[in-house]
Amino acid sequence: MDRSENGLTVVLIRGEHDLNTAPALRTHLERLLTEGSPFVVDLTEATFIDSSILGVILQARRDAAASGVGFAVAEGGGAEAVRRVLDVTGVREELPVHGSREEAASQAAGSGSPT
Amino acid sequence: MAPELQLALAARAENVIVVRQAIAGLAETAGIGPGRVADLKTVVTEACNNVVLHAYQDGPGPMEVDASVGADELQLTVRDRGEGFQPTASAAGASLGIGLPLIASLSDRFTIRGGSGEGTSLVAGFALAPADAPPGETRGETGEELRMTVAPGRLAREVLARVLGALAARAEFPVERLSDTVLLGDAVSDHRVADFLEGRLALEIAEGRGTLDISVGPLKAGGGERMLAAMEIPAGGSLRALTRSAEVRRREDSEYLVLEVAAAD
Repeated sequence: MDRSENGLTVVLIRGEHDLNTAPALRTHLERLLTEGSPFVVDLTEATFIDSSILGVILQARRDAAASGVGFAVAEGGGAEAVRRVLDVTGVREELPVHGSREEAASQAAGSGSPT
Repeated sequence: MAPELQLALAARAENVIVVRQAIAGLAETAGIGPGRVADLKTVVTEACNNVVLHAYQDGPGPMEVDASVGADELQLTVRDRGEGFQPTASAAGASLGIGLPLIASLSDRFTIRGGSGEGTSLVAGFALAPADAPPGETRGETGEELRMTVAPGRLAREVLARVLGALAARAEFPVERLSDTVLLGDAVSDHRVADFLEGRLALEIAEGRGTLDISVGPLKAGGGERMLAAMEIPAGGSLRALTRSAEVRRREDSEYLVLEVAAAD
């Protein structure tokens, strides 16, 4: 579910996501990358994510960096399973993950290269 | 130590959430805290992902999950009957090789056993604070349907409710149908265990197009009728009304109560 705010798209990941939903998320993020507008992957309402979802998010980050599209991830300290997976994999630092949707939005808005 | 919970189902991506819900139900019933339950959900998910992605090359084969709760450890086993384990990123890039490190980090011990042609078992242990072990067991065969057996009581009720809830949600049952289905599951798990042939609650669930067929059994002779009678509500009405059909069938010399529930009338 997306919300657009000032040219920025927020991709809201709600509930449990895993191998079964990863392909749809990948397709969706790839479309946003093609469109070239900055976006935030918002995990604040996610209750579970697995390594396949992390893989999709990491790939999106790499593609966004390569094509100069603004990108950031938000996680608001919600679900334990999400927090633990981000901590243990080291993805929290690698992405990095921002503590709120607003923080991630301002990062995404400022991180793309101006066209 | 006999497993408290055994599940067998097809190694498909959409079945991983069913296993995750069942294991979460077991762990929460055993009084395991939220942090450990979160770790367990991740570990069982990653182990199942490996089976789905790597165990079978020609369509999905069986995925078997056992869990045992001891005084100081929960042991989880995820097993396949495939050609061998390939802990590498899939061609689709779905796993990125993060799965096994996650299992290693979030469990207290884990081993992988197996070889070519004999399938692979991943066993993970989780140390627990002392807690009462729940009275239960679930066991399965294989195929596209899900088969489970579980000892009666709170564990059966919790695990069955989660499994039915996950399957009904996946079949896109509207909310009230989903809760009807869970209600039927409660009636089944509350039924006296003496009517079950193996002394444990046993059932199979097959998914149709917008339907779930729940075959309860094998039952002792007359057990199906007694279960239907127990679904009558004293004030009038019957839980049978929540099903599209409910009938007693015989199969391989055993009796089953087959309940069909549907997303719509």
